[in-house]
Amino acid sequence: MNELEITIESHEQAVVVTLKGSAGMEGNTALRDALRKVAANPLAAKVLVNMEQLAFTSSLGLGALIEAHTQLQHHGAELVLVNPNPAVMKVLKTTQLVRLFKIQNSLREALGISATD
Amino acid sequence: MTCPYYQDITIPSRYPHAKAVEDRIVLEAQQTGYDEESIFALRLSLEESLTNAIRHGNASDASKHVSVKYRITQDRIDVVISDEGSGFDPCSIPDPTQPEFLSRPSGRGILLMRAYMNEVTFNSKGNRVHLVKFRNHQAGSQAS
Repeated sequence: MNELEITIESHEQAVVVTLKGSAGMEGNTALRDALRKVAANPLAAKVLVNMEQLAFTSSLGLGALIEAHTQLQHHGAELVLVNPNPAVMKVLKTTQLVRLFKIQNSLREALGISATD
Repeated sequence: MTCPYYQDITIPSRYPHAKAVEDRIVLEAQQTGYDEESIFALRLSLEESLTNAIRHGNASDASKHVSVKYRITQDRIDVVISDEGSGFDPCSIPDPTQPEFLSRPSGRGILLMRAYMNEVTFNSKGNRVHLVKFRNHQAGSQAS
């Protein structure tokens, strides 16, 4: 799985950016462009990056996420990473970006939807 | 006993060419039976080293080339990547995990290579890196 599919959905509580595939040399430009667009004019206070189906990221993908995080902070909004797989989580831990990003375990949790809803 | 030769590939400083080389090396490692964790480590380190060679070493100048030599055996994977740049001092790169550098969007490539490979060595000029991954060997302590 080498290419990156990016889907953007606006919810009442958050904008959800879903990533599927690989955020390395190939997917990085598309990821950076998409996140810059979302972060330039955030339609909600939270941007959730759904990473459940993101199989791989290199430092290029991490750089795109960091740029978006900084840009959103300037708008008073926040970037939240949702459910990274164990391999991607290990990259986040190795780089200690777990200290920079807020990370949540599920999209429902990140959207503030309780199990009984 | 025969000693496998290094495969030698030279590419222009363009990401699609680098990606094709990366895919070829990863496929060969998969066919040699390396596990999923080793394959992820190999792919990540190839991404980082090839990106550095193209972006920083050759300043994305397509007229400059990147050389990739690799050898995959049952016991270890060796990859040597060289660029035509003037080189750099790996020790001059600040630790990206320090609080003041955490929100920098770049500067994590060497950290990741060192964490995921068993050996990462640069030549004295700093325009060639040698990556080694041993089979069934725990990589750098930072990734564990």
